[in-house]
Amino acid sequence: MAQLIDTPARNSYSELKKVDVFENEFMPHIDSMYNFAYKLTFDEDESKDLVQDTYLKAYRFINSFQEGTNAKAWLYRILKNSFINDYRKKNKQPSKVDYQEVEQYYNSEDTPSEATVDLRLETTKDMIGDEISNALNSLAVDFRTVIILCDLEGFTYEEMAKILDIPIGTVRSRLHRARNLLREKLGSYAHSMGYN
Amino acid sequence: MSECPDCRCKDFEECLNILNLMLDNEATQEQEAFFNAHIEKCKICFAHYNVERQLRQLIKTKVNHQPIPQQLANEIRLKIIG
Repeated sequence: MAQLIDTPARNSYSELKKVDVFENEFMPHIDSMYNFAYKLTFDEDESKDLVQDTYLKAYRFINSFQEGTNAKAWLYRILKNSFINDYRKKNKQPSKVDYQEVEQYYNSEDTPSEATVDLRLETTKDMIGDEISNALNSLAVDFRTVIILCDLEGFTYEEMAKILDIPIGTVRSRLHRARNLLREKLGSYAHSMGYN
Repeated sequence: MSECPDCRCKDFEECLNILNLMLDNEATQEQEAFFNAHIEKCKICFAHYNVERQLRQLIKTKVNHQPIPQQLANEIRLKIIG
């Protein structure tokens, strides 16, 4: 548990207050939590379990949560850690593949690649949700995660760094790499602009 | 460090870097001022900016939303509060 919630219990809420914080600060995020879980697992039952586990843990450690602070980021961090610690352990294979893919790209992190981007994006303009979703879903989980947190959920780099337990610089480079991969998957990488 | 293929400025990579920061609302005021002035004269950076903006827009508007199972919230409440 230590790695899930590493802030010490600073409060001692009454039982009534706990329920109040739970309802008013935690529950409003359940929809985006479920969507995050689903985009990590692609499975309805796994997502339900993950969200439920997250809320149970959040409630158990509610004294570590400072009322009025960023509940959403706090919950996302718990969910992300539960996913890594519980879900990935159960499903060794996918995480193994993901890490390999991540390693591969991190090894080439310094290579500037944006200069070769197709600037038209015409092929993707009229894409429907399924195509965009499929492209996003085909990314390794670590890359998928930063795109979801940044573009879908609107977290700041600093919040993402806390949720993912990585330095801000890594958030930036991972996002950069993730977007390049996504463009590649969307097929807009194919043509060169002819500027070079 | 690479040279911009359009305006030949020496800080093309820095431009791309700032462009991403701007679109993620992470750029400082100085960076924004620099970039806004820069895209007035550099069509490559302006085009990059638009592509990146569109990509984010696509993700934001088109990624499928997964409907949450109706009973989940109440199941969780039941387990926690009883």
